[in-house]
Amino acid sequence: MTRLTTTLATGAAALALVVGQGTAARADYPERPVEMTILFGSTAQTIGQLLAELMSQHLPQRVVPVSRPGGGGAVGYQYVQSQPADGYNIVWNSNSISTTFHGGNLPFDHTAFTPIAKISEEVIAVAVRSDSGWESLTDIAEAVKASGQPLRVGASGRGSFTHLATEAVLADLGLSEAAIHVPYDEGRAPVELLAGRLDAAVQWPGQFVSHHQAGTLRIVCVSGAARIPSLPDVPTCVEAGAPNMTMTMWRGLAAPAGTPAEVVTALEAAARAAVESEAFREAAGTIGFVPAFADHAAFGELIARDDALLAELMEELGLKQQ
Amino acid sequence: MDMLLHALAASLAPETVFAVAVGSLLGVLFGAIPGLTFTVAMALVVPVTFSLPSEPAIGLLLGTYIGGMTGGSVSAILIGIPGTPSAAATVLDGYQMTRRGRASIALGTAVAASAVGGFVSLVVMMVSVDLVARLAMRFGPAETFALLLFGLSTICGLSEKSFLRGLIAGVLGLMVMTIGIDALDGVQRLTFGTVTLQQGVNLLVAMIALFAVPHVIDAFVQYYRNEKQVDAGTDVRAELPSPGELLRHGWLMLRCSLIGTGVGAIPGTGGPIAAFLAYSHARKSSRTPERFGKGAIEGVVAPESANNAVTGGAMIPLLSLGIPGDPATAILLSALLIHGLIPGPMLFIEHPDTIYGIYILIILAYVFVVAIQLLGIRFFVQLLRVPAHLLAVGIIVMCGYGAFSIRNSVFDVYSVAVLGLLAYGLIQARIPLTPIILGLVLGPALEREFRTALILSRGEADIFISSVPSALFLGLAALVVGGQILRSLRGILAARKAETPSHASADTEPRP
Amino acid sequence: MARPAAAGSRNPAARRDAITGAVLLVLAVAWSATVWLTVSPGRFGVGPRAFPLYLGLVLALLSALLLLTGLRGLRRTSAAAAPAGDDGDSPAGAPLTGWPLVRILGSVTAIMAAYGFLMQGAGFVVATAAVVAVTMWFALGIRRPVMVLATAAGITAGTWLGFGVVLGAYLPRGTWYALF
Repeated sequence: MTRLTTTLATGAAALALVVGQGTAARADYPERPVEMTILFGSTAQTIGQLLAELMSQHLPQRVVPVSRPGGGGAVGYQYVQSQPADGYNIVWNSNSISTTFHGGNLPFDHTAFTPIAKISEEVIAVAVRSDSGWESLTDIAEAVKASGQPLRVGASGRGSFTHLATEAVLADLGLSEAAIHVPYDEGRAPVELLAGRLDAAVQWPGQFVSHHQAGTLRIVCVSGAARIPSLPDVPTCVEAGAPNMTMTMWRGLAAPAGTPAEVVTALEAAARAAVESEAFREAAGTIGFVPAFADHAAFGELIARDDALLAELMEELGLKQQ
Repeated sequence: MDMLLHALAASLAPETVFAVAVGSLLGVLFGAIPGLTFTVAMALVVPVTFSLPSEPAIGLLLGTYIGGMTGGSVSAILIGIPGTPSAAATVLDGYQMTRRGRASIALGTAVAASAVGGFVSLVVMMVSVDLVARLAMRFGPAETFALLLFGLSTICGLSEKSFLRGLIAGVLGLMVMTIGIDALDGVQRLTFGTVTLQQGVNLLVAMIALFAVPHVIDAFVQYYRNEKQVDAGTDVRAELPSPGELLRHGWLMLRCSLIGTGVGAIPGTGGPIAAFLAYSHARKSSRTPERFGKGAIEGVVAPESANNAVTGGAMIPLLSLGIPGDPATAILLSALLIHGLIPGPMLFIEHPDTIYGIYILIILAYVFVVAIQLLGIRFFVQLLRVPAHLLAVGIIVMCGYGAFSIRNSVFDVYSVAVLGLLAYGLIQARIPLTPIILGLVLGPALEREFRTALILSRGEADIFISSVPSALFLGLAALVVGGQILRSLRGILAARKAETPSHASADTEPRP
Repeated sequence: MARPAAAGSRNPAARRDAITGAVLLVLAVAWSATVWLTVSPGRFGVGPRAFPLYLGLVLALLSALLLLTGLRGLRRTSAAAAPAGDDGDSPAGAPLTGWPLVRILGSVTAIMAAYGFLMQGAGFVVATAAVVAVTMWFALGIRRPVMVLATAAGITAGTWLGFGVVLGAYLPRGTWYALF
């Protein structure tokens, strides 16, 4: 089956070269709609759809968001990577390129893509029940060490970004051995926390904001280098007692490696216009992310830097497979 | 009161009503076409809502959600292929009704049951959102696992022909769903190192394969056998169930609606599970359970009231706790967020008018969905006039593209081809399909909840019996399984006894 | 595929069970071995391996039981021909067997797989038209070119309009060429 598919695909690719590629005049890019592959559901998908919508206003052709979920992003990455590097297939990517690669779920790393632009940043939040009396990470660490009971921390599945952040916080607090990571589907952590089945949860702040305001849950800290605009009174994790804990999830756009520079520039300009638009800023406030445009060069450096950091962290946690 | 009037004015503005109508129509169409689901429809609608004010935006999405949930019954009843996973249980009796010439009655009943389910869940939501949310919160992994196991134990009830083959089918269904990335540990299972297999088998893809491919093969076989003579068209009448007929099932609708609301309110469950639980409840509580699977109207009433009640049930944790119960409500959640409405306890304090508005929009959506469906029935049934072999060609296209559209993945179309062939083989081997579906539906949740519960308890198994709901459902599951084994054994013994003198009934299956 | 034997000398239901049991037993053993060899057991407690492994083993046990039941039934060949409609819902008429059935099974599977392959490469429009035409011409043996072409064009246009334009769903444009 596989061999047959490969043979047919090779034949098809040869055909494609004959029919399509050679004639494309790069100057007129884009001549047809650009497909933006979206790797995840829920808010990541919504932001991607909004971005595509806004970018379409600044390009002669539409940017079509196409959802290709699965394998923690691996399925979508593989699809885009296998497409011709002509700028008609781009991916709404994130740090997941590093976690899926180092976790052994993707046969290629971030170098298989040409960065286009960084779009946004998201931090994660550590939350506890208000009646726990814990005000900071230091409180948690002291309480756990005093009681001798393991801390049950909810985050997404093993190897996910929230799990890595959880382990980073715990390591900083010296609690690596005194805590249990309980994997939960995104979205369920607040209930489990409220119901008392978890002692703490590490998730995107949006999940906790309403409970935080209502006073049932308390967001102890956010993982970024600075506080976030929507939660000005919540300290960063560094302020709250984890001196080395800064982790930020970026999202951006990338195309298969080898995409011509002028195509990247065209997409970058559209992305910049979209990020700077009023609509995008408003959505950022309500959905809970920070618009943070960076051009392709700066984005490329960031990806490489973060990849090294995540590789190191996953190595320490025994999660690095390749 | 002021608030309610304000909400009424906002929700009944012409553009909002129009948005709900468009959403409902879109939802019914996506739901009715096998393969295209309301989750896909909702994702497609999201970009449109960016430019709308919040009421029409929410109305558009709610209409799509509710329309899709209701529309799924159309193809389930007419061609025996569920339009959405939530309608899988409806196939069992709905399609049998069509084969007995009662398609329009089944469709009409499904619409009525759906509307009742929706309204009951809405009422529950309105009067007791806090109470239900608090009750649902008691369902942690251990409790949810117990509930799911109880659901799975009804496999026994759904495959009376052979306990052994029913079990085999259930296990096969559970096995298929373990392929892919394990969500808890992030480990690949049975992917043979490929990225493609990491996406695993999608539930709806498996359902399309199980229902649609054997259907197509059968149609071709029939065509071949009839020497390519086309069957005379089926007698198509568009008669609707009378109100009196519907009233007779009122009590069942109410019970199943409550089941649906409850299941919907528990995160990690969802429409297909609710529909099957309601179906087995209807069958267990029926005085004539043998009619089920042969076109019993209750077999349509129960799953359809339950799966629509899930829409209201799922709104409870969504609105009061900010927790999406399934992909559809997750889309709803991000749409609410983008309009500055953050679901959770503060929504009730800061924007009570929005909550009232949502209630009104749901009622409005049901009005439209019922109207669209009732008007549509006379058109839908015309599908039965299409000769079976040509309909099969259409099904190939719809299901092929439908399978693709779920995740825009070619792998899903290949899966339909392969799993469909296997399904046909299993049917020939008299392995019942219903337990496979139940296994597919329950499998991932069952494993996830079981393992999460044990992680929480640090491996202590008593987490499953230390809470009342969990112990209760486990007890019920044990009763169901025990009873079935007992009946099965008695059947074998009876067969032995009968066989000793005559040797005649060697092949008789153990029967209750 | 359990092919029922001609009614009479042998017990077709038992034979079918025996074959089904045997096939599933092989499958279950292969599955369990694959899981055992390729899936990590996890760090503690019930890891990612437990469920697929135990399901495989349970299936092995159940299919062995089915195999035994079937073999036991086969030994009683002298039994009167078992009542045919024993399991209920059997399709009316004599089942289609042999080459015609294999041809239908093969063509339906191949058509579905080809549809997926073409959809990605050649795009929705070309794939749909091709699949409808091929199905009617080859699988159904309808040799009326005008009707086949008209149906193919009709279904393609209808679904393209319905899915793509009215419902606004994403239709793949094809990756083999850059036409539209």
